[in-house]
Amino acid sequence: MSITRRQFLGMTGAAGAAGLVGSSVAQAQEHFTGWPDRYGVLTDLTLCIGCRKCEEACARVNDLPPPEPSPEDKSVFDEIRRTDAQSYTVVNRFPNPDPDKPPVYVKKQCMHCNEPACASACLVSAFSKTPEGAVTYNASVCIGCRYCLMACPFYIPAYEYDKALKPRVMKCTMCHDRVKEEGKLPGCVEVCPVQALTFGKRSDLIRLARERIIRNPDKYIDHIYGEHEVGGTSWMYITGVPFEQLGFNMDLGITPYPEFTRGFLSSVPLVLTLWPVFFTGVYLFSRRRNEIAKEEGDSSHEEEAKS
Amino acid sequence: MSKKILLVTVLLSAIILFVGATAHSAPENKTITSGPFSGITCNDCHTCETPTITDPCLQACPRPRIGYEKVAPDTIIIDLLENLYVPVSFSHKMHMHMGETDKDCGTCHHHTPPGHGYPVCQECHTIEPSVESPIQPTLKGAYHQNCMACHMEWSHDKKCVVCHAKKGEEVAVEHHYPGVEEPMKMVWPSEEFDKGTKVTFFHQNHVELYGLACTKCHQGESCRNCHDKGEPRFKFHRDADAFHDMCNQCHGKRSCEWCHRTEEIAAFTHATWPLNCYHKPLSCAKCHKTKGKFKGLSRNCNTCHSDWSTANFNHAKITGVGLDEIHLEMDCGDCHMDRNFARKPTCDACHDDSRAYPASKPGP
Repeated sequence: MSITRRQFLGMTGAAGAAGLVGSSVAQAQEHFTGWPDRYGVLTDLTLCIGCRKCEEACARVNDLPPPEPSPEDKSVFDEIRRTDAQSYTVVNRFPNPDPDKPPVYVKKQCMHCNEPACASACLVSAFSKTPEGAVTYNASVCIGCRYCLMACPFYIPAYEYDKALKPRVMKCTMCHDRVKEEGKLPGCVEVCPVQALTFGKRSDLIRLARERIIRNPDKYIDHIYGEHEVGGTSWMYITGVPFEQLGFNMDLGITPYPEFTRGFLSSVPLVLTLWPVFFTGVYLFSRRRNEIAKEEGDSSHEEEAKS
Repeated sequence: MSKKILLVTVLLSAIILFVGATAHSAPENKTITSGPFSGITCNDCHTCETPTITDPCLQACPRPRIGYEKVAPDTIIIDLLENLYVPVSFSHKMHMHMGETDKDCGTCHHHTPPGHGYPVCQECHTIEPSVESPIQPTLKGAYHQNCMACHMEWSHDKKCVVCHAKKGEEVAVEHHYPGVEEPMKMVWPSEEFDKGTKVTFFHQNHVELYGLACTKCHQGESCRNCHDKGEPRFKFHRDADAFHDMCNQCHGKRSCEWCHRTEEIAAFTHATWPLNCYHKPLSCAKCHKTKGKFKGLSRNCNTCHSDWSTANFNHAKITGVGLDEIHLEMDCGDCHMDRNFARKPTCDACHDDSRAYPASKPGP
């Protein structure tokens, strides 16, 4: 049965019959392991030189304002930045624990989770995990609740608070349209002069990352960030410096975030459909019992009065 | 009779075994007949009998007998990716020599298949990225990964114009790395050795006076250890064993106390016989020919310059004292008594009028 988790979640909202819902839960959890040929990006932090060309290219291809300050200005690295409504990606600098070695630059953007928390938190299905791997956003249905901002384990989506009309949630799209319709690479990947970013099928990228780690055990930490974190992400990282020293959150676990709420959320329709029927039944039953008791009481009073 | 047969059999089998053994070790001397390495044998590069991918047991690079100097290009113009910037002129030969201090030619020419000459980059790295098989970086990525790793180390910069000149803009390429400020003297503490707690090392003397090549001590090091636009320079983290191995290449027969002294020592200056401009650039062994301890030589010029004669010796140029026609015609021994050139001649040996050098000169 080819049913996706997204379709399933939609179905559960509309489903009325409890039995059908229960069997769908079991099947969806058992069979869905993600789109087989989904794409991803591997960031090799040992190669990144911090030129911020990716920020520039990202702004260009997504019609965002050019990065401020300009890539020539190194003062930008004095503080750790986050993605915001005007930048889908930012590069931060972290000192190398070995003072003889150059600092480490870390590009930050949407990780495009295999099972996105933003999508599961969204009330109106504005987010979707595409077969190409990207997690995309549909502004036309968004109601602006910003649950996605709170749900994201990487604190990535940003909101256009300064727009009075039609504010949007802003986040990296992995250049979904460029990749799917124009057959191009994502803007940042295309421009990276040292190819610290590699675009390809996620399964190929994991192989590539493993090969690099095996070939250079002294150069790399034996960990692919994003292979298993929060159930796996399309954007992955390898590094020579421990991830925890580069601002990566290491206690996210490997359970997909939607998993935490699935039990509760899937019981909501059951509760909504069964509880009214059940309690109405209980109510009707007890009312009927009271009526009978009352009638019996009345008749016995009459009998007592008569006697 | 049977003894004879036995003896012959034993001898024959010994010969067969010997021939077999030599035939077995022969492959290492097999001569390569094609490709850029044709004409060389296996053990021109490999030091062991059976090189493997994990342990190719290669000699340090460049390997002179291979004749890389002839095979490898001096300069490569990289124009395959010409777009915004003018083609890059890559000084291959210079980088080859830099490779001496680093690990190998393999730093750039990695993944060389066995029996294959060093491949050019575009043999494996394509210009266009392949989404279907992203294992190899594109040509642009490969070039930048190779170059930037070292170039950023010493420049601490990632501006494109550090290597590239932009089209239409005559901007000088800034890729000249900072020169090496060589230390004159280094004093290392050696507290764990009671008899001498100081090791004085004269770096400049080892390079200039004793003519040691940098690679004799510095191998497999980062460029930044010597060339760095920022401070501090000279980051050599070596343990005691590494230091001992390095010094013992030449000073192996010395006692511990020869290096480990209680006080700093003065530099060797060749002060007993100051070197003139002709002798200064020479290596020690040019004059001190006997191997082992350098022995004092006779100060007589003829000891080394036995071919000098009245006819071919340019007195003015070499000694700085010109001779006029009268003095030129005389024999060397007329002034230099007993042909002892170490002792300076005086005028009064011939002239009675109490004239003396330098007020009076034997020429212009």
